[in-house]
Amino acid sequence: MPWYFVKVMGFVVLFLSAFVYIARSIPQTDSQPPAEFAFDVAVIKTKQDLVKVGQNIFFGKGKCALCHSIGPSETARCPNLEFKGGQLTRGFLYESLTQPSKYIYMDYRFSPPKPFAAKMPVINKPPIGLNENEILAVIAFLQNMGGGEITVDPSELILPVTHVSGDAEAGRRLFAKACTTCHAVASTGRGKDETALRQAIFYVSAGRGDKPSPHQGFDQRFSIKEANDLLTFLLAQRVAAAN
Amino acid sequence: MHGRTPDNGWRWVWPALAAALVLVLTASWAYAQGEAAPQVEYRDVPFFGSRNLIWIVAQLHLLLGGFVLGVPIFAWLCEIIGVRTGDPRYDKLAKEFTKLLTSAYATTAIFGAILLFLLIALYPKLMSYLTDAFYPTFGLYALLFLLETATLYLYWYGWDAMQDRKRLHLFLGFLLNLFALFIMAVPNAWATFQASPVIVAEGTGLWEKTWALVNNPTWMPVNVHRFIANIVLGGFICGAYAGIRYLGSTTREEREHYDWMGYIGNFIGIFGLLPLPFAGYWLMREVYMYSQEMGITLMGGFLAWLFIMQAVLIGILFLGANYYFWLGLVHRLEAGVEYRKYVLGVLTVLMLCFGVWLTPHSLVASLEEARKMGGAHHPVLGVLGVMSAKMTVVNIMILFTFISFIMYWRAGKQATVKWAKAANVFIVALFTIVSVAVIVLGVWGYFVPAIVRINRFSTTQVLLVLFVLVTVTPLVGAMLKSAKVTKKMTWGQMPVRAQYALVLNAVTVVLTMTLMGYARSASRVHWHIYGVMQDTSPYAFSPAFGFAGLFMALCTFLFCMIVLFIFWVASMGAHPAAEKSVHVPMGKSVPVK
Repeated sequence: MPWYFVKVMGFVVLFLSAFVYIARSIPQTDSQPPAEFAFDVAVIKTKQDLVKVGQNIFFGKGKCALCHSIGPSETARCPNLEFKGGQLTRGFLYESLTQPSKYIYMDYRFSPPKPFAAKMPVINKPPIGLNENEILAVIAFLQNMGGGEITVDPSELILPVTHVSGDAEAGRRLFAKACTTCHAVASTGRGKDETALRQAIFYVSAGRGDKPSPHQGFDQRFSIKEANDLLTFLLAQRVAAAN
Repeated sequence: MHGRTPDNGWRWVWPALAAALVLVLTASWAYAQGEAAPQVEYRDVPFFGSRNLIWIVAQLHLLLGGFVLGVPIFAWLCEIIGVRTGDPRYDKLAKEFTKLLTSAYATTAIFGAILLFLLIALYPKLMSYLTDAFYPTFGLYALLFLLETATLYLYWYGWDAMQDRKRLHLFLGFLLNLFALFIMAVPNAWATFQASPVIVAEGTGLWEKTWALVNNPTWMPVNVHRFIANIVLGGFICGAYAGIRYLGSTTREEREHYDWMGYIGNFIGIFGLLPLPFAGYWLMREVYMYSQEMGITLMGGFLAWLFIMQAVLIGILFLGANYYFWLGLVHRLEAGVEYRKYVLGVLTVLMLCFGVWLTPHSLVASLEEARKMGGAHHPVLGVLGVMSAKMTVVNIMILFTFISFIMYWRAGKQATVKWAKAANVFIVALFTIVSVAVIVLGVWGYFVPAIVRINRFSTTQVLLVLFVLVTVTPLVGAMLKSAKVTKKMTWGQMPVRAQYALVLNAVTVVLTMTLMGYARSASRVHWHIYGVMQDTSPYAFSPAFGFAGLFMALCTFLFCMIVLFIFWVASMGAHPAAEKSVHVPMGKSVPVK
């Protein structure tokens, strides 16, 4: 092997080694898949417990801090959230997270002012996909940081449903009787997990505006068995649709 | 006549392709049967890990793919220049590189087949999904391979036979590149679908559905970006090859030839490098529009450091390419030392721009750090890290690299056309106005909404710079057509460090490709198909940059070894060059004949 060739190869190896050295010298951050978030509702006793969980979600699974600053920043891409929790209503915060482009802002730097919708990922859809409890925790964190009243109460959190073992046929009959006025089977509950589905049906969701939910009173109207039957039926429909 | 060894490589293409096709069709058929048996989602490779193995094989296949798509473009361009200028050296160069294609093509196909086997074996669930979505494209892909292979046979084996029918041969070269372009576009659809999948309504027709999946938001930008990058790769690999051969050359003719070849390789590499950032910007814009979260993961999330490293590598590439031009000015040109003062000016501008370009915008920070900085951005340097600053400096770097190129092109020549003075004034005015306009738009970009900056200001900056490139190039070409040569250009007396600059450029391009390969894959984070199919394997995490950097360097090194092997195999049939040539020690001047 000629000497000039050895020197060229040595040069290449040296260059690549320098690259590896620098690559290993800079801060090492990997990207772990979101852990199956252990939001143990049972240990949330106070609002401050909820705030702590919300903070973890804000900087972790929710990835909010990637765009939003906490405090004034000239270069942040998205609004400073330091005081937003104290300035905005809970309903507006919820809507901003789950339907970010619903509220149309006006940009008064133009004449006439130009409308524009906020560009933000829908937070309860993939790839972030926070569930209802996690969204409530984030709202509590924002309210606490913004100096406002924390309006989310730990009692609003939905207890996890680990297993639903009802009678699907009974659930189907119940669905035909109570739900088909408004819902078609194929679309009911799509995209919701068991916990979210239970909340959507049997509890009036928190912070969704002033209109009374058509589901108001469902928690009293159905027995626990009926509720489990209905959930079993709906979940079975989703499994069938997914396959 | 064209060497015996290249055919050996071809023997492996058909069995490899046939086996791959059979495997794919079998997998499609099995999937279509709707087997009720529980499907294995993943299989692992002991000790090494399935993801690591796929990483290396996929990256090598991609690099080889870039090589076999880039080299025909390079060869065809050289052949066109040869026909237009009547300079036989271009035809010889084009033929020399086309010879590489035969063995390179086989190697690429073999790596493709290995990748497919591994994916089907190790990621069956994902491959079933992709097969179901894209099986209509598999037939097209196989057909394109047949057409590409037949055209390459005709193009290579007909080189001497078609010397009198050059137009037909050039047309074959055009077809070769056209088929190659589509061969690149088809698998791009599969890969980009993983990053930016589209949801198609139930009941959509087969072809309509297939086209919708293929034409996903990042498909076309990736096609354009890769096409241009392949030209860059082809050019700089040619340069590196010439550099190594130059170092090993012992005769005057060899040194002249490889010096000239290095110049052409570097020239075509830069020719592709100049518009490449524009294509990259378009791609990132589409990524942001598709998913802001994915865009931020890339540019401001855990991959932020990766983009700083990318800026460093691209900066090295710009500096390396310019350095080679400058050495050419000083060493090839009679009294070329007088250009040093201009070189210093260009170097200063490039270094300043480089500094701004590698300034990060936001980094992953702890809560405490974020509070201290008032966010995830540095209070002072963060201002230079935003896209407005980066777009400005990259445009200025392109403009000044173009100045280097024009300076080299015009060196030692005096235009004799009557309108030369007016043209010179126009060129200087154009450079000045566009440079000022790019900077003004860059500063103004801080004070307008992002959407205005992205859609209007950045686009205007890009169009202005492109306008300079497409206006000044033909203008200078026309000026120099009848120019008087005032200073002699002598080939074959470049210093050794110039050849190392050529090698550095090629390695940097390859390393950048491995870097961005990781970025593209890691931007999907824990998803096989973003937002649709989650990676639930033990390898769902994206490793830190230290670990990833090791793999990037390894892939780059292995690719260099494969390319060297291909060059070595291709050179086995060549006759010893110029036995009667005069031996000249390195460093002595070789006057041009």
